[in-house]
Amino acid sequence: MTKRKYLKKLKKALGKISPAEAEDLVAYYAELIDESYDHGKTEREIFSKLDPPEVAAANYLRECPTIGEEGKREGHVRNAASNFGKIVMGFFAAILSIVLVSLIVSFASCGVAFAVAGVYVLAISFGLLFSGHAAVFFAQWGMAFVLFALAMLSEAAAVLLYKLFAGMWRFVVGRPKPKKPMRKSMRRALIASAMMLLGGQLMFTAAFGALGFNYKNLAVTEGLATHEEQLSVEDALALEADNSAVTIKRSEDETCKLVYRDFPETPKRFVFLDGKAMLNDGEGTLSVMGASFELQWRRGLLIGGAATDLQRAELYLPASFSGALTVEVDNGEVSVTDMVCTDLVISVKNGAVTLDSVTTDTVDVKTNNGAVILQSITAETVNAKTSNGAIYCKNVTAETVTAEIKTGAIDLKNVACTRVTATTSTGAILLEDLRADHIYLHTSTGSVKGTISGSEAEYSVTASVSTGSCNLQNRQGGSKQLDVRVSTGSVNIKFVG
Amino acid sequence: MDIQMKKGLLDACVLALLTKGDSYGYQLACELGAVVEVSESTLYPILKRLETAGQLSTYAREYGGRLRRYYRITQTGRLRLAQFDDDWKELEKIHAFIKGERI
Repeated sequence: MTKRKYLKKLKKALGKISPAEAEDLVAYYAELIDESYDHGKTEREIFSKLDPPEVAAANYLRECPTIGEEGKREGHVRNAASNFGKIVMGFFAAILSIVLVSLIVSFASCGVAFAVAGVYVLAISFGLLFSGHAAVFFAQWGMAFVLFALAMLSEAAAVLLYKLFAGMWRFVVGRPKPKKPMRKSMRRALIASAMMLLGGQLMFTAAFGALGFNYKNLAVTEGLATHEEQLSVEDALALEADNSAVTIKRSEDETCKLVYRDFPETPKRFVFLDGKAMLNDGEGTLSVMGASFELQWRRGLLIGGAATDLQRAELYLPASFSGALTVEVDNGEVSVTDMVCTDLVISVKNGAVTLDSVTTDTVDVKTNNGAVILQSITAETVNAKTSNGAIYCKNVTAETVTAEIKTGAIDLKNVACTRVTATTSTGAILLEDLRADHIYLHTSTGSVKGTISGSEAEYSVTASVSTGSCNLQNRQGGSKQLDVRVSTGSVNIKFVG
Repeated sequence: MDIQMKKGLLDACVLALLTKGDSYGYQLACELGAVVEVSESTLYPILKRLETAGQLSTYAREYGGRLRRYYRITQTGRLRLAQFDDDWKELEKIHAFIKGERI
């Protein structure tokens, strides 16, 4: 007889008992036979000593009839009482499963991302070794080790969560498995990642110390080239840049020039055509990617952050310039100081916009991510718009002021105009000495508070607050208008002067 | 020995063996076989019964590339074993009675 045959016969002889029970018995005999072989017994010895499968099965059924029966009986009683409980448990387990599965997937993919980043950091670091910047090299290796440790920890978390998930369902189904101690490999992985985390941090700190604890030294910034381009300007000038911070100033004389900086590995392209200056990274995404690899290979991983700051451009306008100025920047902050012009239009994708001491007809500032800061502005129309950031106006005099923001606060300090409109979805609106005939303040979530110059009697007030307190009372008959609308938040406006 | 008489004793034998440390099927069979004649098909139901009664617990551990099922005595099992001594005294009384009646 063979093991397979024996077990097959045994299973058959057991007849209709619960599969789990049968499996358990078969596994016992399988283990016994395997062990006997391991102890050098021959097939003949084993099966002559073993009771025939029919006897083994009969013995079991005779000796343990109660296990199966009791199980069934208990099961019946329990089922009647707990079927409902099981459904409820299953329902909650299903909801929890959604959370657990998404956590497992995100931890697992985080781990992969960390590992990929770590490999990249390691690989790109060798360039620094070749160029003799060992401290930066070791700092990056420290970062890589930290990334690897994070990768391992994420994966370990995913495995542990999976075990939780599996255990939960086993419990719901009612087949809890005996608890196994933590796998050795798991414990080893955790210890290894903890050591790597510590080692990586030590390595980084040591290298960072050698660089004088100055974050700017974490990238190799030598060899920055400065270029100066002369521009001719009449009554309008436009500037377009993709990755540069731009500062616009007034020059002492009549020169009009653009000063910009770049690294030799990533030369910028400058074109001046029909009153439009364009300052862009090299052509085509692929070449830009190649260049940025080269830049990181030679100058370290963190050069990107330093580059936007270092490769800053300055536009000098002639002292007599008073035309229209249009600035468009993708990534980088824009600041304008001491400017007199007819129109000032600035649009930025990522970066803050700062205007200081500007006299013009129209100010139109737009940014997706970044704050808008307007200081000492005299204009007919001021439009400020941002998605994420803040709008801060101080000493602004205009006919109309419009501030629009999705997420962030609006702060109006000493603003004087005929009509002011401030709109935010999430964020507060703060006022200080606001002087205006028509005031519209709208926010969905956030408070409105501050001071308005004038007496309350002058104003027709419309205030609506859905959830929150409001110190204003609706009233008609004023020559000026105050319209405050808040969904969630409080209103606290005082009239002074 | 009569199988009915042996049954109760075997339970105690298994529990006694496990007080020396956790063990697995083959080893238990060998060690028990040295003391009292017992076949595999008798041992399994005993283990199963003791497990159901909560007197021993089982766990699996990898050994030589496959899973070995180990048995461990529980606190209930130890109590049962302690109780066995009392049972034995009672048994001796019965034994003395049987002997006395027969003479």
